[in-house]
Amino acid sequence: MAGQPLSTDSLLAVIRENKQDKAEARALNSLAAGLARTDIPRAIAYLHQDVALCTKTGDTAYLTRAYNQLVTCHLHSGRRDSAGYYLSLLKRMAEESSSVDARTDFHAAAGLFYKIEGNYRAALPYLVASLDDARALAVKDPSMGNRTYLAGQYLNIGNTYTVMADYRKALTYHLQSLHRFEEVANKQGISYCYQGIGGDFLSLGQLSQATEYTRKAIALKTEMKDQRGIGTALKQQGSIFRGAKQWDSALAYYFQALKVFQGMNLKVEEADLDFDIGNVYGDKADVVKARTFLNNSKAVDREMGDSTRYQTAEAALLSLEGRVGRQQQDELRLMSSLKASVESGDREMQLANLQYLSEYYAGVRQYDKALYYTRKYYEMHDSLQGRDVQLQLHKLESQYNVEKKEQEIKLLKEDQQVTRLVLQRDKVLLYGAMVVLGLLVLVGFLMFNRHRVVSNARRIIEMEKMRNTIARDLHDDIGSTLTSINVLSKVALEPSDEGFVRSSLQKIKDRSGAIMEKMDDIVWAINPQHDTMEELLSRMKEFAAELLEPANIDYRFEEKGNLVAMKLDVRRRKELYLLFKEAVNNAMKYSGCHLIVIRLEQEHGSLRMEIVDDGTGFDEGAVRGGNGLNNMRERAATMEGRIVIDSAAGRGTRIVLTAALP
Amino acid sequence: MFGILLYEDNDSLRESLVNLLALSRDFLLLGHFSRAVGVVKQVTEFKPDVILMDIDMPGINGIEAVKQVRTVDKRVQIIMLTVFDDNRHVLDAICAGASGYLLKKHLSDHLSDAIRQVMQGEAPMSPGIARMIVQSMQEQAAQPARAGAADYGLTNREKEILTHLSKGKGLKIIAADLSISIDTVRTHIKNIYEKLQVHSQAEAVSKALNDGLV
Repeated sequence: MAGQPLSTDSLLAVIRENKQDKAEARALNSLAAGLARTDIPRAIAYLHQDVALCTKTGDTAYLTRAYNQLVTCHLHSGRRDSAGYYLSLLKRMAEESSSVDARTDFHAAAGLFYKIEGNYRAALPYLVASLDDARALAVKDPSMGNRTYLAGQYLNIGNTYTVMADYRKALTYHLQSLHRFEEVANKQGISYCYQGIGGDFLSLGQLSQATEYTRKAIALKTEMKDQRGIGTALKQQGSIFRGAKQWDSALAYYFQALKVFQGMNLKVEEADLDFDIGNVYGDKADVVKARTFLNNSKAVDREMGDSTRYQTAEAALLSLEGRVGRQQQDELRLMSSLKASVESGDREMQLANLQYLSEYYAGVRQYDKALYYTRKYYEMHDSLQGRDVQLQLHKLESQYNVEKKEQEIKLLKEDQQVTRLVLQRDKVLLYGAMVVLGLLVLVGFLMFNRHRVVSNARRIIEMEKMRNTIARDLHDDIGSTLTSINVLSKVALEPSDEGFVRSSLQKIKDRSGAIMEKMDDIVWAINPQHDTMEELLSRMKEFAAELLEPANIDYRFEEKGNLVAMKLDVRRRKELYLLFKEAVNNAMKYSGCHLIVIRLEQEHGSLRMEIVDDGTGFDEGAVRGGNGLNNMRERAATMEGRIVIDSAAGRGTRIVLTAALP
Repeated sequence: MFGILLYEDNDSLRESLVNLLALSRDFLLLGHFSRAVGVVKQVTEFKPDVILMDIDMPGINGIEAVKQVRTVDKRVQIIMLTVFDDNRHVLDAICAGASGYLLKKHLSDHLSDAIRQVMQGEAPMSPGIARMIVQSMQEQAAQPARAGAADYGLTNREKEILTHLSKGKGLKIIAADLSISIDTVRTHIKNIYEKLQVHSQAEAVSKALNDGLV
């Protein structure tokens, strides 16, 4: 909980002075914190001293902190009852005192207590409360220590979500934690986060990334000489190998980790590891060794009071043996183990128990039940990992069929008539169930697909229409322009004066520039992401900025009404945009104006666009090549709208387009 | 006299650019290549001031090349050349360390200006790109774990400018709206670029994780 600790010597010096003051209380506390991972008995001794001192001086702040640490130390040594005792003391102090610190300490201790017990559901609310405490503290006083602590809280919650198999949440919290630890450059924290992130990847089956982070964790923890941390990281690496089905490598790492934990007398970790080692031996089909380690785990679990783990270890043992004799008793025990893991929210255990049950039933040849639990297992497994259900079910079906055939043959040899009838009934029932399941899946899939197909079809039809229009446009407009360029070049190649060549080349430059512009517009228009009015407005503004700012012409857009909600189909959008471009281009090129105002209004379901400039205006009759104006009129017609072009020499120009939208 | 390296896989365009650059007295074309495969060696050997980099090239694409260049040279200016307003790729290029971008349709008229601008520390920003940045900030803010890093560490002013840009407003209008000079607006945009790049490096890990998860 503290930041980087002071040097041990200076702390001991303070204690030796025996001034019985706050400084001494703090020193005892810090010493204990420093020893909490390496030498628990000594840490506890210092804490008892601290408690005595604080009780005498009435220093509640350090008292609650000492209780918190005592809970932690006892939990890590496997003394649940002692831990529970201090937790209750802490709870009482938190309720009675009005101090924030007391409540903070209580939240932290309670969270850890339930976590170590394996009751993650109960732990989570306390962990979240701890996080809020930490955040408030860091805001009030953003010291190194407080920010470090906050990072640690994120880590705690991340680790809890990992066990509850919510890997997405786990990773978010782990990342937040890593970020904050990096901010305060706390290597220890960073190493924990590497470990956590590696663990999340492991659970998601992404073994290479899991390895990458776990290796980082091992390296960093070795650098920091964090023995316990090295142990857990080694264990994770073992689990990664286990995920890759490399049993011997997995065991190698597990045993390395076991050595570390036993050396530090860390009961909880040892029990965990025994459980994992036992299961690996089970995977290797070495029943004797599996039994030994699972029993070890059970023994420590019972001592620790971790009922979830205990029952799961039992379940593992039972599935290993598949005893027929004490069938009913075993079945009950397996069921209760499953129930316990469901209640505590430990989804990993739950998954394991489902597997044990299915294996057990397969072992005692109750295939209908085995199939049921296997299906449940894969359902949960797939919802956790997101793989293909169909594939698994098919595999299972064929596996099941093979086993069934073997049994048929065996029983036929013993008692043909009765057994054949029984098997036939089972077969029909099972195939029936398979068909129903398959149909349900199919129906669900079809219904989901239909919606997608319908909207896709609609989009495709519109695209086709647009595509035809584009093909036409391209052919006419751009094709003609390219032809003109080709012809111009040919003409310019003939002997003539430099002036003519220059002017031809200028035309080529202008026209090819125009084509590039057109193509850009077409690509933009096709893109369905640009379907909204908002996008269109943005593009219009962008065009205006690009054209008018370098020309030093002021401009502004005025918008009225609920424009953004209007829906323009692709065709209208294109015509509107091109009309706009034409009008603004004309204003810029020919009018010599200083200000252009573009007004867009939505009124009674129709759109009104007005473009006004304060330039010299024009006389339509006198304008050469009035194609620009005619184009605008045609576009307005295509949009089923009306256009008014109002201009006269010296009066500026006003162009108004009105179009109703369906 | 600025030294320039050019990477463009379309032969006609590359040839045209070579000719265009040869006309200018301010720029010296040090080399031109159709692939970015040897970019690190070339940058180390030629020590250019500006690199013109096509975004879409076979083999190593432009964005990858920018990342490689940045591992050996933090100061060379890199301008991405792009055909259409390819916002996603341009944004990726900026995050990878590009200094600016230029639409190919604007090359003949604006190339010299673009090079000069980038050497003076200006950075262009189109509405589309501004919008992408805003969107990505919103997406990140929705995830609780990344609260600290959600806004690329942008100041309020910078976020404001980004919003205006995303609506299509030109620099002049933005300067007028906010009562600051155009140069100030340009400086803010440059800062936004830098923060994107710094943020991207730190987030490179997280990005990979997120992609893996989703």
